[in-house]
Amino acid sequence: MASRERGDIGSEFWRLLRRGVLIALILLSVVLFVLWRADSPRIERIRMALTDWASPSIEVTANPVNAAAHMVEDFENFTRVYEQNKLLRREIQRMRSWREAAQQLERENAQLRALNNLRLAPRIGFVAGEVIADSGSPFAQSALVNIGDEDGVANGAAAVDGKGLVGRVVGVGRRAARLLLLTDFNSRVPVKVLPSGRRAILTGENDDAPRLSFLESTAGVAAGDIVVTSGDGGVFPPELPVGVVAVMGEYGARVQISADYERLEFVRVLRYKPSTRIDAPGGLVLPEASAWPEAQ
Amino acid sequence: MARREPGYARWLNALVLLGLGWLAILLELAPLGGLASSAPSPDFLFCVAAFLVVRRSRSTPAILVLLLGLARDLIGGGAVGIEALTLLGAVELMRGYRFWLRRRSFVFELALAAALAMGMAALQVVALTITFAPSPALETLALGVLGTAGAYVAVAFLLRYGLRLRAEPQPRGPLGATP
Repeated sequence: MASRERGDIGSEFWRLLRRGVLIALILLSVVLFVLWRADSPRIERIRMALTDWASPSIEVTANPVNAAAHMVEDFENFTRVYEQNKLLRREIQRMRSWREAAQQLERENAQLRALNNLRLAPRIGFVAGEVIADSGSPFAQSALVNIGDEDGVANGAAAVDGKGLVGRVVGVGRRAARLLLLTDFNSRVPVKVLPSGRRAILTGENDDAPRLSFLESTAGVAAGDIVVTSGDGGVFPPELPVGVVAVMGEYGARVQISADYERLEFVRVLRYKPSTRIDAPGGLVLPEASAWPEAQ
Repeated sequence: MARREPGYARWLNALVLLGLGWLAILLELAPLGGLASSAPSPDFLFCVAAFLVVRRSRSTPAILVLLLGLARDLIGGGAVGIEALTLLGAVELMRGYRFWLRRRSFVFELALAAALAMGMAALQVVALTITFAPSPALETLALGVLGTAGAYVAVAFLLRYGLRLRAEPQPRGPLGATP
C-alpha cells in the first residue's frame, strides 16, 4: 500500500516536472521570437553555434539528397537532349562573338589604364565553399555553406557564384556560415543600373525577382539594363554583376538575378576591404605653428 | 488484461521520434537545386510527429516535439520560435483526436493533417503580420501546404510499412469501453 502511494507521488512529481519544463520551453520560444523580431545578435550567435554542431550531419545528408536531385535533373535533361543541343550550338555562336568583343575591350581597357594612371580597386580575395543546406521554408531564403570563421569568412561579406552576386553572410560559425539570398525579405543591396548609372536599393520579396526600391528616376532605365553593385556603404565591392532589369512597370522595376539559384552548389565568399574607411570624425585642421607669429 | 509497457520502452520509442525528427529536419534543409527554388520544402517534421502521435502518443512527448521544432527554426534561418509553437499546437490537436482517427480511414487523418498544416501556415502569417514582419505570397504558402499533405502520405507509408510502426494498444475502461 505504502509503495503504491510512493509510486503515485513519484509519477505525480514527474508529471508536474514535465509540465513545468514544457511551459518553460513555450515561454522560451516566445522570448526567442521576440528577440528574433528585434534583430538581436544573440539569436544569430545561437543559430551559428547550433549550426556548427549540426553541420557534419547536414553535410552527410545533403550529399545523397543532392545525388538524388541530380539524377532527377539528369533524367529531365536526357528527355530534352535534342532541344538542348540546338540551344548549345546557338549559344556557342553567340559566345564566340562575345569572346572577340571581350578581348578587344580588354586590350582597350589596359591601354586606357596605362594612359590615365588609374588607381586600381583593392585586390579582392575570396574563399570558396559548398552549399550544404537551404532554408526550405516559405518564410526565409537563406543557405548554409561549409566555410566559416576558421576559413576567414567575415560577417557581411558578399557571396558570388560564377555568374553574379548570390547574397551576403549574415552569420558566421567556426565551420559554417549562413548566406542571406538576394531574394529574402530582409535583403537590401545598394545597386546601380547601367548604362544610365541610376542608383537604387535591391529589395528581396521572397520571390524570384527582387524589386528596385528608391530608384532615383525611371528615366533612362529600361528592361534589359544591367544591374551591378554600387559599392555604396562599403560593404560590397562595386561593379559586381547582380542581374538585369526584367520588368519596368507602374509599380517599379523588377530584376532577374544573374546568379544561378537553381544550381547553387558552390559559392565564393569575398574578402573585401574598401580602399577608404572613415572610422571617426575628422579633427580640426589647423595651420602649422610656424604660420602663427603671435603664438611664437 | 492489457500488458503493461515497460518504462524503458517508452524512452526507446521517444528515441525513435528524436531520430526520425532529426532526419526530417535534415531532409528539409537539404539543397535540392532547381527543385528547391520552385517550391518550399514540405514540413517533414510535422509529418513524422503527427504520424507518431496518433499511433504512439505516450512516446511522442510534447517537450521533444517543441525542442525539435526549435532546433529546426534555429538551423533553418526563418522566424525563430513561432514555427515551433505552431508545430506543437498542431501535434497536440492530433493527439487529442488520436482515438477518433484510429477508428477511421487514413483519409480522415490525411485531411486533418492537411488542415492543420494550413492552420500552421496561417498562424505564422498572423504572427508575422502582427509584428510587422513581411509574409510570403499566398501561392508559396499553398504550395508548401500541398507539399506537406503529399509528404504525409509518403511518410505514413514509409513508417507504417517500412519501419512497421503500428498503433500502441488502446487503453480500455473498467467495462472494456474505449475512450
